[in-house]
Amino acid sequence: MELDNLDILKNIKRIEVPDALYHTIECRFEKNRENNIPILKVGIAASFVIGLMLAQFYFLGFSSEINQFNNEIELVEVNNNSLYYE
Amino acid sequence: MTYKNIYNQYKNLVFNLALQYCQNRQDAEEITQDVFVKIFDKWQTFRKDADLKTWIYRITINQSLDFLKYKQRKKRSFIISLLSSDSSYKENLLPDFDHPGILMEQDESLKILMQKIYRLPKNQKTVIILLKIEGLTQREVAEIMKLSEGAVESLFQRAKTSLKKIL
Repeated sequence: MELDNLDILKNIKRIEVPDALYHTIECRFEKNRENNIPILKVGIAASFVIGLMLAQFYFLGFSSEINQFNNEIELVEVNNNSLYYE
Repeated sequence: MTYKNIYNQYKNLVFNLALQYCQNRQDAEEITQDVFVKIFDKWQTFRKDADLKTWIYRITINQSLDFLKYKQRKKRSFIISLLSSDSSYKENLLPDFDHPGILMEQDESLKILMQKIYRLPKNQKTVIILLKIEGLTQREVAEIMKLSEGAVESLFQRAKTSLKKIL
């Protein structure tokens, strides 16, 4: 086949798109949109959880400092000269 | 611009371009659906100063090539599972030909040529389709494919050489 015959490709007829196709596309697009998880909402929820966790760590650390201080008070040795079972 | 307007303006371009790639009406309809769903999805992020037609061409070409890759992979695995002979294996990788634009012409040589084009590497196939079927200029093809005009010309020459080998 001669390569000049590539010009016969211009004889290919253009085809009209079936009318019902737009409706199918619209339905698929709407369905996609419903299934999409909104990134903004997920981001807000995630930062809220992270904030809660950070607050928890902070307050846990704070309360453990207080506990440690209390323990230190309890461990102070009392030196007196009284004997046991006296 | 509403979605309906975009669809009405570009539906024939998308459908016919997809048809040149997959050479099957049903597949072309499926690709057209995928392309418009993608266009509507990404419409908010589309830079309005960019050329809409070029953007739609790119999406359609990529979607068609992805579709062909997926379909051939599916066919290949099916054929390998049947352990068929080599010759029938290659035949089966050709499309289920149902191109209304060619069948209307009733030109057997056109059908054969299209089936040969189907077997070209993807870039060569794209250049032939855009230059010879869509009737775009070399500059337009270069812009769509993000190549230089020289690269498009060289791809076209290579495509002709490949076709000579196949023909």
